[in-house]
Amino acid sequence: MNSNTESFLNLRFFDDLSAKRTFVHSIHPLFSLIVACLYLFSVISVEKYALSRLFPLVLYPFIIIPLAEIPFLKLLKRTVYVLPLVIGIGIFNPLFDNQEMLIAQGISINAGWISFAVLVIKAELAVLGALILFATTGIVNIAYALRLLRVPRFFVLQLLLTYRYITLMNLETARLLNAYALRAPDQKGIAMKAWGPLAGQLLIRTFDAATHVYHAMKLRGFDGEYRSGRRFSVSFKDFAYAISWLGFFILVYFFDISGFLGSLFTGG
Amino acid sequence: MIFPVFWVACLQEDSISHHYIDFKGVSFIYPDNTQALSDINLHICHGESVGIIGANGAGKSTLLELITGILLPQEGEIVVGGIAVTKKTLASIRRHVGFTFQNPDNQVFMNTVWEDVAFGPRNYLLSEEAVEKKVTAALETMGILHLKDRPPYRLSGGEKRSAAIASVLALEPDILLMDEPSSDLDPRARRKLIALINQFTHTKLITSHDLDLVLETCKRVIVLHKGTVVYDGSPIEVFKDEKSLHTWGLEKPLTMSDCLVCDSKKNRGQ
Repeated sequence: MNSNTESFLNLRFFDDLSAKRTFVHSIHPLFSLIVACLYLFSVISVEKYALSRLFPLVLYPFIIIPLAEIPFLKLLKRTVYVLPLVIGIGIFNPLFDNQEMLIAQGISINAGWISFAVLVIKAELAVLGALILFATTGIVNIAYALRLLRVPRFFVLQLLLTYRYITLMNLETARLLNAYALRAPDQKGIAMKAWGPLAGQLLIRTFDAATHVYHAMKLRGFDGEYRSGRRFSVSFKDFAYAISWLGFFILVYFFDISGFLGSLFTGG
Repeated sequence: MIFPVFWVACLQEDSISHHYIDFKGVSFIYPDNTQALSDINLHICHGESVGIIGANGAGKSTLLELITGILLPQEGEIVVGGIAVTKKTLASIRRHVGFTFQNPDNQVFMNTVWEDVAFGPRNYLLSEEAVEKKVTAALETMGILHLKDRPPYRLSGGEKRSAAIASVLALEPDILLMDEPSSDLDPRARRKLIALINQFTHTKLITSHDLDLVLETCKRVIVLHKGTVVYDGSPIEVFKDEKSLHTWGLEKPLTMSDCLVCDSKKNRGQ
């Protein structure tokens, strides 16, 4: 299998994972969505120098990933795509924010580096949280949960079709790159003069494919609602799952658990 | 000799059935000004099996897409079961029409074959028990029940084609439209498909370059050439007429051609 086709198949990684049947997968999508949103809120709300406050939040992915039987490294690999953007945003922090901060007895560090580290870790955890939701709940069930939250059908449909569009775009990209590589065997990468036509072709072909898929859906009675056929009923375990995590996130938000544990061990 | 276009006499059941299709002066031009169809007048009766043949670009797929309302004609009118195809009537027409696309990639988009075949019945709000029955029956008919948990993108072209056909069969349509149904299929799957098409007693329209399939499944053939109907009648008659077939960019079905192995001649002097 060549690398282009492989990268396309990787995109279906989340579809495959969401089809598993573990305890996490059995949670009602509405509760999974709420917990994921609360997690994102908890991560985002950490202040810019509060590095230690982030450490307890690592527990969420560390518990969910093995429970949901998600390959950790493969998932982590997908989070690094956001790093260039985050590094681009935060790289000047150490330059402009150069006050000294005491991080341990006798050890101080440039505050800019701390805020930079917080930004990177926050981004990684936030993306990880979102990917965990996709891997455990699946796009169709997320859409179902959004509809339960009375999100307008139009927006949910946009989400679903965008997801399908990305899939098709990846497939078309793989085909175009394969076709290019087969006729330019000695070339590394794509010649700059071919970038324009390739991008144009990709756009047109993906649009065509997406239109066809949409027609195929409409011809089979699609009215804007995805019906997965799975019957979800709210049970005690859903409430227990959501309340446990909610309690943990509240604890992390209001108390400095890392600081507390640190003071316990150091006797400070 | 170019055959005149003629109307095939309809069966009496037509008056009590709603599964007929009328084309009344239909023309269609694509946005790039390609005239795909020009002044098409056809009447497809209830229960008829009609093969639509023609060279590449003759307008075959466009004709089917017009029936489903994927495309709407600039001129003329298409009536399906007494209902004119317009934006407002699409939902009720599509409830009765099953369409298999030329490219099965366009049709199988869910995560597993089972989910894909179940997509249609679920949209019509059938109970999960009914959905299960229909999906199992459709997959068994196509001989792909063993593929039910496979993701469609990991199937071969022929398997995808079978899944696409199953997804339409699960809806139990009254009118079946198939665009190049035998492409990508291996000989055994193709043979099964022919048997399946022959079992389907409702109205069916099949576009194909596989003229042997058309010969085995259709009692009426419509030949399109540059967007117009140039022949409408018996398959045998048109397949015997090599000169006209040549003019329209077609060739005889293999079963009616001279044998390359034993050198036996068929239909000489026709």
